[in-house]
Amino acid sequence: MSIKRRQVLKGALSLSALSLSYPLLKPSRSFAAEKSTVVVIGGGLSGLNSALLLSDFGLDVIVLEGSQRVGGRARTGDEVETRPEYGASQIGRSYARVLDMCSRLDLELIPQHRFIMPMSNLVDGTWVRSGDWADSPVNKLADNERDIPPSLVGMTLLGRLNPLKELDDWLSPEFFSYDVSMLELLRKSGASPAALRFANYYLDLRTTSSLAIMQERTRTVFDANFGRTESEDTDTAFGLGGTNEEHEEIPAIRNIAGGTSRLPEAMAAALGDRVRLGKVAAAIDMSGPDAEIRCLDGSRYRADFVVAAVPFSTLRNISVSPGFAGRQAEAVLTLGYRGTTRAYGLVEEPYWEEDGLEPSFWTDGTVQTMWVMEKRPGEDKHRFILTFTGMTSARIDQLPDDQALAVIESEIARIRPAAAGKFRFMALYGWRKNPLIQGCRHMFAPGQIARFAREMIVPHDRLHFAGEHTRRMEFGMESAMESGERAAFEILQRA
Amino acid sequence: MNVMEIRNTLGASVLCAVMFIGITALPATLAADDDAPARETATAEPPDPRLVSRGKRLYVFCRACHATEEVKGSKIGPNLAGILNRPAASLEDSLYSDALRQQDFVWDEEKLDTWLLRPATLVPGTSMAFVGLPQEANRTAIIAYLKTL
Repeated sequence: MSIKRRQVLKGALSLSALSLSYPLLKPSRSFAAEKSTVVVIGGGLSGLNSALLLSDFGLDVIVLEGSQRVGGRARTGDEVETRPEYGASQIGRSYARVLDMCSRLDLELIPQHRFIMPMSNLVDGTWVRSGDWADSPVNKLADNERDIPPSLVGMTLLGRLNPLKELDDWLSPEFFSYDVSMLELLRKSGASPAALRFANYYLDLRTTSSLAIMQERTRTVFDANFGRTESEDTDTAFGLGGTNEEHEEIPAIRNIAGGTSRLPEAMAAALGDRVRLGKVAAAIDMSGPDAEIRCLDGSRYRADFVVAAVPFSTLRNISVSPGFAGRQAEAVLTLGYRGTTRAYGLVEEPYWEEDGLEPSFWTDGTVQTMWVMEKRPGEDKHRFILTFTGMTSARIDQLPDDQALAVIESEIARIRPAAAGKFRFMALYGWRKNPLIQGCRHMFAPGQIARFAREMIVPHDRLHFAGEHTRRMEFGMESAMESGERAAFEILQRA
Repeated sequence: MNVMEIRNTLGASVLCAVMFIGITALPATLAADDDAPARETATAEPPDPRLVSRGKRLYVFCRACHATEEVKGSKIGPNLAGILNRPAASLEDSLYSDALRQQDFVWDEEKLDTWLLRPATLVPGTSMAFVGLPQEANRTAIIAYLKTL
C-alpha cells in the first residue's frame, strides 16, 4: 500500500501510525488481494461521487474502472478539434450535486451555447419548412396535434398525459397504471396514426414505459421552473428543455468549461491513486467473510462493501455470488438499454442559401435529425450534430464507423442535394458500441417499473447499487450523482 | 490541486474527526464520536452532543444544497444557519418554490421532522428534490444538529 495513497486519504498527521500498523495487522494474504473498506466498481460520476463521500467519512475506498479513462457517459471528444460532447453535458439550474461538485473542484460553468437553427421537415418525400408545417398537406396529424413539429410529437403528447406532480411519484403504485407502453397509452388517448408514426422514430413505442418517460419529463419541467415564480411547460426531444434567455440571472442550462470530462477527471484527481484504470471486474464473491472482487487481469480486491456503479448491461456480465434473486435478478438481467448515435461535424458552406430550406432538418428516413448550430463567438463555421435513436441507431451501430459515415453522407446528398459536399464529419459516436457500457442509457420496458423499480436498488448482501438507472428523483448527470450519494449513505449506515 | 486543498474541499472537519479513531477498526462513520462535542448554545435544553455529532455527519448529505456558517459556497437551497423557528420561505435571496412561499408556518422540530421524511408530503410542489430520511433516528440527529446552527 503506497504512502501517497494514505497521505491523500488520511492526511499527513496520521501517516506514520497508519503505515506502520498496516503490515502487522494483515497476514501475507494481503499481498495477493488488496484490502479496503469499500470497492466501487465503475469510475463514472456515480461511482466517483460514492467514493468521494465515503472518503470524506474516512473510509478506505478503491475505485475499479474497466476502461482507460474515468467518466463513463460523461465524455468529451478531446481528440476532435470541435470537442464534441458524446454523452452528458447539460447542467440544469437545480442540479444541486453537480453544481456543488463543480464549485468545490473549481470547475467553471458556462451557459450552454447550443442554439439550433430553424428546422425543416422531410415527410413522405416532401420538404416542409417549419412555418408551413401546421397547414401542410403532408401533415396528417389530428387537429390537436398539427402544430407539433414531427420531432417533438411523442414527447409533447405524452407530456399532455403526464399525471406526475412530485419527483418520486413515479415509484408510487398509484401511478403504475401508466407503466404501459407509449404505444398503448398514446393510442388509448386518441393519438392519430401519423402521431404514432412520428413518435416511433424517436423512441420505440412498444418497448418504452410511458411512466419512465414521465419521470424524466417531470424532472425536466421541475428544472425549467426552478427558481421561477411562474410555471411553464417545456418540450424537448433530447435532454433538458428550456432555452437560455438573456434576461435570466442564472442560465437555464450550463456546461462545464473545457468539456464535461473535466468533472470526472477532477473527481478522480481528488481520489488520487485510489482510482485504478483498466480493471475489468469479472466476479464479486461474497460467500466468504468479506467480498472479493476479481478482475480479468487476475488482480483481486477484498472489501467489506461493494458499490456496483456500472449499468446493469454490464453488471449482468459480472459473476456475482451469492447470485441475485427474485425481482432484483429480473432487473439486472432484463432492464432495457438504449443506444444513441451521433455524428458531429462542420458545415463548409451554407447549403440552405442554395435550396431555400432551413439549415436544420428532421426526416422520416435514415437521417433523423440534423441540428445546425448558430456559430459561437469566434467560430467561422457552423457546427452540426446528427442524432440517431431507436432502430436506426441500432442499425448504424452495426456498421464500422467509416461505412456508417459513408451511408449517412450519401443519404444526405440524396435527400438534400444542395448539401452534398458542403459538410464535413469530425466524429461519430454510438454508445451501444462502447463495450463497457453498451448503451447511452437504461430504459424501463412497459411493466418494469411496477415489477422492480423499487426492488432493484435494495442492497444485495454486501453489494450496493449506483448509476443513473438507480435514480429516485433525478435526471441526467444529477441522477448519477444522486445514486452515488444514496449508495454511500447506505454503506455508512452499516459500516 | 494539492492534498490540503482536496481535504479542505471535501469536508475536512469530518475527516479530522475520524482520523483519531485510527484505521485498525472501521471508522465510526455515522455513529457519534466523543471527540466532537457540540457547540454550546443558548437553547433551553442542552443538546445531546452525541446526537449533534451524528447529525453533523449526516449533514454531508445536505451540504450540496444548503450552506451554513461552516459550510461555505453558493448553494441552490437556502442557508440553514438559524433555521429553527424561522418562518418558512423567509430568506430574501433564496429560490423558494411558490408552494413554500404560500406556507404560513415556522420551522419547529415537528415541521422539520415531517419535512425530512418527505418534503412533498408537507408541502406539495416543493422545489426541494430530496428523497427523504425514513429512519427516525437520522431525522432526530439532523434536527439536533440544525438546532445548533
